[in-house]
Amino acid sequence: MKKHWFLILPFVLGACFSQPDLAALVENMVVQTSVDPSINFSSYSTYTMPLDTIGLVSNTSNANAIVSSYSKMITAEVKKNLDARNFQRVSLSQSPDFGVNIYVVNDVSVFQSVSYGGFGYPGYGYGSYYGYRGYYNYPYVSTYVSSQALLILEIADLKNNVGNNSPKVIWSANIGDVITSVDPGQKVIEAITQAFKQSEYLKK
Amino acid sequence: MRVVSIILFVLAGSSAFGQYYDKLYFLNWNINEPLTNKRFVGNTSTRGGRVGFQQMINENFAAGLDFTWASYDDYVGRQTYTSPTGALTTDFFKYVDTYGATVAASYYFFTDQKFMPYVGAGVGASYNEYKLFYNVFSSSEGSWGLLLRPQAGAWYRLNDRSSWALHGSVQFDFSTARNTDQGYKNFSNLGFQIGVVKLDW
Repeated sequence: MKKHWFLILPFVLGACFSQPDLAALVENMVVQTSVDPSINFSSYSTYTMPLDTIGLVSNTSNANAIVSSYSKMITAEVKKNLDARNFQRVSLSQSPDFGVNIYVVNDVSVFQSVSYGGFGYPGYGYGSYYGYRGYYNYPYVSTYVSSQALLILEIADLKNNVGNNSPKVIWSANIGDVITSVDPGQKVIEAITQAFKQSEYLKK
Repeated sequence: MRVVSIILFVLAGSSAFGQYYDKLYFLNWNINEPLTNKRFVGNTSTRGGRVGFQQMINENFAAGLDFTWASYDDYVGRQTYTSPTGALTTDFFKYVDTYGATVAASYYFFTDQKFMPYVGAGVGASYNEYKLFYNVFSSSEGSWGLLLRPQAGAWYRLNDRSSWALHGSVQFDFSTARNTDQGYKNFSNLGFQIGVVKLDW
């Protein structure tokens, strides 16, 4: 065996197998949006949304809300984009047409499926399960993620929700990962802008 | 008598040279061009290798085992994919890592030459891992398959007495290791190898 030492070399070289560079990998956040195609957003005018608080779903925290400069930054950016689309923010007592939910899913196992060849609405729900699908010309992908955080934006239909305690989510944006980034503050703002940019139908 | 002795010695030497080696150890750098589903990974792979051993069965035939591996990668820059019901903006890092073990046989056209061209074939098992990364999300799935490999090559000894030779070959790999999620019913590639051969006895 001594004279066949060279056979070991390739196994050593084989250890160089690939993983993407983390900095390049998280340079920009993933932005995924879903919409109910039957909705005509031009028929909606007003919305309600808290400006200082966003929700929190976490395995590692008992808190269910984030109240900080971070939450204010997020809500301000969402409001800016909605206002630019000619929607008007009103109070809940003024019977808004839709409500905006914003929350972070943190340290919770996240299931994500991206169906490249077909499309269907996933089973939306708060809590430890979250799913979404998108469509583009790639094969099917399933992804399991844990110990990361997603920022979720949702528009819930209040106009057509008379007598129903579970308003239908008619638009959503999933943005992640909001923790692992070189500049998470700036990148999440860019990602929110991108979520609206790729949702041109979302306008009065 | 002295002349006879010299002649016998030379003949014996020639005969011994004919039996000079009967084992071959290969070590190669493997360069591969993917041929299947280049939409997932289409770049030429320069990260790969091959090690092998063959035993001469007779003066023209050798058979043995070898192990190959290669890593393919591709990158799709950040862009937005849209549909009537949604959109996704991200970039993708994509990889296919392939491993193969084959029983291989080679036919050498010459015997005991410095230049030794051959043709061969291998059959064995392959394991491919198909990986996709975007931001902190990832997908990885491996699959086993049957591996078939026709190949041709040659090795060349720099001098008659050297037990080392330079080696080059071309091969076609066909593996049934599939991954329908990423659009692979099979995986095939064209490979080029350069390396060395250690001759032993």
